[in-house]
Amino acid sequence: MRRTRFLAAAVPGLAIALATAGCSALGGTSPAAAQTGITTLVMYSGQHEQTTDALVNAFEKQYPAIKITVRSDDEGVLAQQIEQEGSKSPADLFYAENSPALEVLQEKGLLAPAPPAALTAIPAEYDSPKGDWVGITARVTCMVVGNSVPAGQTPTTALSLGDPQWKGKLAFAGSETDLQPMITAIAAKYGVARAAEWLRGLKANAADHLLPDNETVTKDVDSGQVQIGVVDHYYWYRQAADDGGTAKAASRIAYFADGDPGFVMSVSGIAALASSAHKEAAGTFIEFLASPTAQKIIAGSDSFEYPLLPGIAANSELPALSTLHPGTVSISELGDGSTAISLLQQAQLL
Amino acid sequence: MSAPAETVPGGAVVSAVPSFRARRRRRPVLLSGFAGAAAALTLLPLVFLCIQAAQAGWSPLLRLLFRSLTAQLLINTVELACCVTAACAVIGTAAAFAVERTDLPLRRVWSALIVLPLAIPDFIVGYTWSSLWPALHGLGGAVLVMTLSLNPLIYLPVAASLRASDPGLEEAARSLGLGPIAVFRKVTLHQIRPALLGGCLVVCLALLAEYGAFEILRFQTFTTTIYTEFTRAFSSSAASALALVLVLLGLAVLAARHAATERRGLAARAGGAARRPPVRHRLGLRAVPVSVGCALLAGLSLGVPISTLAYWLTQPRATTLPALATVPAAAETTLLYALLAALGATALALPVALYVDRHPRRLSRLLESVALSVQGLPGLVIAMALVFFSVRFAFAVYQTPLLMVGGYAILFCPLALVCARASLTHAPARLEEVARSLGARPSVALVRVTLPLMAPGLAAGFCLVFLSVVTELTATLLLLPTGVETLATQFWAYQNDQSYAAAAPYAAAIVAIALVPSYLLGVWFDKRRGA
Repeated sequence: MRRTRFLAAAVPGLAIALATAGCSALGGTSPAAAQTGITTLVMYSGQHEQTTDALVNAFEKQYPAIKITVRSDDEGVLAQQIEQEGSKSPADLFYAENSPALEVLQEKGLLAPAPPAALTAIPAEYDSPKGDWVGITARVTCMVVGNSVPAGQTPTTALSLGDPQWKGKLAFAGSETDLQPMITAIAAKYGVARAAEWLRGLKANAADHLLPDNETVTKDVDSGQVQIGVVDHYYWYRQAADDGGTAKAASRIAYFADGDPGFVMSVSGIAALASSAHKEAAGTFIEFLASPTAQKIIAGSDSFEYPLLPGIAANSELPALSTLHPGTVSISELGDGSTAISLLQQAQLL
Repeated sequence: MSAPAETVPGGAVVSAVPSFRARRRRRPVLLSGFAGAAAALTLLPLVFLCIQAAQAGWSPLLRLLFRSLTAQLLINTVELACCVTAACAVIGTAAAFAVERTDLPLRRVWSALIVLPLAIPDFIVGYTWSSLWPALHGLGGAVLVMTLSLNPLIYLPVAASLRASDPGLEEAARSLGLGPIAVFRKVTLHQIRPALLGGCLVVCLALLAEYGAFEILRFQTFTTTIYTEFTRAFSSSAASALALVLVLLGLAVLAARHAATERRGLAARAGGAARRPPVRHRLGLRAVPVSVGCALLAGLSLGVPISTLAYWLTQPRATTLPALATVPAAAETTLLYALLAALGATALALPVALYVDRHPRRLSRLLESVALSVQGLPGLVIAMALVFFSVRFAFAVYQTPLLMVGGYAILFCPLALVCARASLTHAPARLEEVARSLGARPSVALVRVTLPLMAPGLAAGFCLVFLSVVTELTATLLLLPTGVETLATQFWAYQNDQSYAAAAPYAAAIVAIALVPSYLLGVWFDKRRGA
């Protein structure tokens, strides 16, 4: 009995002692915030962690008076979180993987106008039409094709992927945000009814290969389990880099024909939040991301995305952006992705 | 710690006599206040779901709910729950019977090896299997992986119950001419019934809330779809509607358990007065296949994930992603959060358990059921609910360690509650009344009589919550203070980048930390008398 009583007192006592001692381990106080003359920004980021980290480090070196704390999670969760936080959000910046996440928040009035210098530096077609966020990197939709498929026999249009001849040979990840721009573009070109029919065909063709994410799509094509996967280009390059180089891959990239509506360039961008108390410092970071220093870091990183500042060449493994001729769907047509979401829900993919 | 429990012979018998409780009509203000507050906290996620669903309006919600995807999810989820629960029940009971009722060699070793898989997080088990066997997905894969990781939850209570039950009944049945199978079916199964049903309940609820493993195994359930709706459709209303269906499923599971225990519950508690070691079945040569079976179970559920981890650990680290927190720093954070959360969950569960046990009214039982059904909700939903309420009403705690600890406490309170309720069979109201009739104040009676008797059960709940916190990911990502890293979030960062070799040390640290409470749990159930 005495032992039990001792334990009953000791366990909470010990825990409280530990908690006090480990306050910094729990994240109770932020040492950076205590320093005078230093502005600490909080950035919610759904982007590639490694590249984001390199960008933040380079920024802090160039602007020693500003520190950035990054909160990484899925961009959809972060967008939901910012919406719930509303005017009280602790975040100053939101770095999203795809434009719809930013457009959703922009429509709700949660973003602050972007710094004009950054909007001017990056070509207008890659920025928010309303001017609340700035495009930083781009990626294009493509097919990953297994080497067992002869070069002349790959489909050339996204629309033809819904044809019965690809039954059992196709894979895609319906729940990835990267698929939505393609669906929106098809709906914008051929109408919602045709897009719904196309999506049904796509689903039937990929019945055995409806996968959870683009990494798995790329992996399954490369290991020969399925012949064609629909992804954004960088998934294939990242996986090839991990597996020892593009030359060793058992699969290749095939782009859709020039100007095909399914050949979509989508943009990853950054915005300052309307609720931020440090909009000026946040603007400084946005301008930095649009500067040659940051764009060169992106070009040289393993994220294999295209930098958007004119004059900065992409990673040398990638075909130059100027040689790619995607369809003409615009950022504002891509919007908040709600058309694509309701089409995906109709097809029971979401 | 189990010493006090042994001083109450036949506790179960006492609790079967309701008249003492029925006489206590006076409402204890303090206890009901605490219980009410704790129950209100655990109900927050439900309130959040209703608010979100109501905001969206009925017609879009009905359109989202009544479509073929929902039917498919319902079929998937129910099929999975039935298959895994049945498989776990058979495997867990068979293993418990072999360890407790036969002369199987190395019984202690098997017992430990069967319990330890609790320490391995689901996302590690799922990844291991899908990398070993890429074609393993869909229902078959999900059933295999979940059965391997959840069967200890049946083994533990059933083994404890076998150990506690009176072997005299089985012997009497045998002496009356019943064969071994008939004895098992008519006597033993009857004795272990409450423990088995309790274990099945926990398994079912864990399956409803599981996310990580099914995502990897490409099996779509309500929880994976809720996650997708939240993250992809930027729509918390669609996700909330699906989550409400999940709550209903959880309540259905609880109702089924309740119906099954009510029907024949009391007869099963008849034993307990005269307890002595059972006469063990002689296996003879049959010990070989039984040992092989145990080895297979341990090898698949423990050996496979551990050897995959070991393989990763020896691979060169290809990643250039710099670590945001070293393994020891992340381990310290994880450990502190797990300790505080386990304390918090126990503190929430204790008043609810006492109140429901001492004042079994329809309302209190309903409150308990709803609080338990929250266990079937995904961590993401519970975390989102806490974001919603703390931003509106308690912004000072938002993204502080306090909210994170509170989130874990609410998320895992049901586990502590189940253990606390079970331990109350050792602390019948009558003993507390005797103490009070001898002049002790209610609070003194609680601290000096009831709590010491409940201590082992509370400790088991503490261990279970600790274990769950160490392996939790989705709620952690959402509620953790910005800039803080735990072992699970660091594992996630590397795994997202497909850098398994760099992720491996964090995974290994998770398993190492979780081994301690799993081992303690095994020891506790091992020593437990009367379940």
